[in-house]
Amino acid sequence: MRALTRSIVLAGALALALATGPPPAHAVLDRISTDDDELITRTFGGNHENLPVRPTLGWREAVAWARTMPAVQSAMQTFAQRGYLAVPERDTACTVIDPPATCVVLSYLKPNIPLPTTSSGRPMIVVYTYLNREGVPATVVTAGIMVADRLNYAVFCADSLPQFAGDGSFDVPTAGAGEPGVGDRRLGPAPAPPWPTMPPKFGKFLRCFAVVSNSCLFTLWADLPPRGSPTTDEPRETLVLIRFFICEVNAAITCIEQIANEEG
Amino acid sequence: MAMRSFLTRALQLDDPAAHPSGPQLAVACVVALAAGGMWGWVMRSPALAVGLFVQLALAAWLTPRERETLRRRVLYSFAFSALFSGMLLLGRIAAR
Repeated sequence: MRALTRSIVLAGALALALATGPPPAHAVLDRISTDDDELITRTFGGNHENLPVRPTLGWREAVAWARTMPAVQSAMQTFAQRGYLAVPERDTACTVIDPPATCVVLSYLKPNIPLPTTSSGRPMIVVYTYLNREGVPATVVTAGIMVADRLNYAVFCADSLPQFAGDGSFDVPTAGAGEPGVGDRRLGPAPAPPWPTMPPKFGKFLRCFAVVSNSCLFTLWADLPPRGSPTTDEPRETLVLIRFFICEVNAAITCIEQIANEEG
Repeated sequence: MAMRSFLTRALQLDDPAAHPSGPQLAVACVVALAAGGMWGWVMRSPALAVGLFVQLALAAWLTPRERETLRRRVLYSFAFSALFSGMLLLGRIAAR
């Protein structure tokens, strides 16, 4: 009885405190600020001082663009004066989405390079264009010899080796940043790949036919032999083949008509 | 000669029971014309209308006489026409 009384007193005190106290405040969620700019994929069309930057840039186009840049041509001229041999088949490029950037590496070869057999060195020109938060491009053109030491699993610049005193690395200054989002169109479309490509109309036809011909499977299902009939029925199989073939021909004709109408 | 015998055997020309009767075939052709014409008009494709008619008429011709009914013919014709037209619509989208 005493315990019950104490509980009732406690509950009453709590109810009194809740009734007379300040009302509970509503929880308000503050807006969490986000950097909306980061959600936009920034691109740049490229100009004399900067590489194009876009996710769909092909490496061949990037390499070809880099070769037309005056800063890169200056570096190539210096390399030619040093007697380096260009190895264009080893040129490469990559694109980076975040942060948006394009990197091109032009590969060279130094004849009779003074390195032990456990090391190898390659002169290279690295062109790196990146976009800042406002989409303004900046480019770094740097050139030098990279040495790979296979014994120590190390890659380093050859400037630290005394035998490469006359082959120091260098940066080529660029004129500065360009306008964001715009650029020159000095190059045409990307060079065609070395393999033969199908005409676009034929590709459209193939895609259309690949879809429409699926409906011809219906004829196979409709011509299934009735239950109880022998599983091998030569006339019926011939019928199935004929109807399937006619259906495929119809699918091809309708696709050709669709593409002709679209082109017209 | 070989082609004629092949077609005779393939189309079962020597077996009257393997084909619908004249009235049955006429009705089936009307149904095929309706289905092909309707879907050809819907898809704005004369080639589709002609192709569907040919396929549906052939399907009717190759149906045994005792299995040919109007309900079955209408169902088959419109179902196949709808399926083929739907696939053509998807093909148009895929070809873009």
